[in-house]
Amino acid sequence: MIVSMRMRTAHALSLIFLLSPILAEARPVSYEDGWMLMQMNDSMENSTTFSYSPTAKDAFGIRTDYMRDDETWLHTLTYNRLIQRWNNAGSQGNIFLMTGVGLGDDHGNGSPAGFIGGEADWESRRYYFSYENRFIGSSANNQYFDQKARIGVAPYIGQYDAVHTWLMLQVQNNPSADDKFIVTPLVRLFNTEFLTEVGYSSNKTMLLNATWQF
Amino acid sequence: MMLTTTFALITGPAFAETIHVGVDGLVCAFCVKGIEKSFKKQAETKTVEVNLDEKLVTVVTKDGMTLKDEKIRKLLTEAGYEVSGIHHQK
Repeated sequence: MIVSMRMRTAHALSLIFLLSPILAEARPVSYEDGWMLMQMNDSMENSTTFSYSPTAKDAFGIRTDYMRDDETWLHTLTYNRLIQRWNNAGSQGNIFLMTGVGLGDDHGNGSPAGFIGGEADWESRRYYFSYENRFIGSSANNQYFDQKARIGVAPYIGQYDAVHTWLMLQVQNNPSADDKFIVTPLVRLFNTEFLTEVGYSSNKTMLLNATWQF
Repeated sequence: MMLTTTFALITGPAFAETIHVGVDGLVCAFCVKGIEKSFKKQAETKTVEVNLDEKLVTVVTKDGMTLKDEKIRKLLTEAGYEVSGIHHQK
């Protein structure tokens, strides 16, 4: 009963997050003393993350995921870590670890759950590449694996306070889903604080991502 | 006059200093924001500007203050970047 009430409260809070104005897929760790609100809505799931980075290498946060295929929820406390960064004169590469522990909800049945994943990216001011994966597991034996890769190109090079534009192509793979491979061409727009992505996927769903860093 | 000179030598420079710092890894506006935030927290900083094209951070200090190279390197390393060069301009 108590678990059920907690679940309803968690879902209510999640809905507030998920229905809030679309705010992207940025890096999982912000700059020192930076806050980040991310909302991602892609062909497979909806998620909202609110995090704080006490250093440029660590981020703590709360995250809610809704996997539409399975109609399952995941509420987690997250910790992300910048494992490695390569700085070059005109480019930057990164490897991140992403973790979360919390509660999964499969049609009203709650159980401890968590996830672990990694992200690698490389970008210059003209080109972008990233790969990300995530494995979700729960004590109820639910498992979910998702991975995606992106390539991008900036059609023009903007200065700091300009609106930056990226044209990207994302390929997403989820071995347990009906659509195992989903391709999404998308446009990324961002300025100093806001990042928005809009795309249309091969499974005829919209991709709408947004990030606010402050 | 001798007294004034001695005082100036003890108290350090009375004018602001402009420091140009070359930075590797500067590729996006989010990087800029993090660096700006880091330098603006320092008591010595009057203004900070980041030029993405030049990969250059320009810091102007408050009158009579300076930022030592070690501190600049520490700030940028902790922010996740590497310093390629520092030039102080009085």
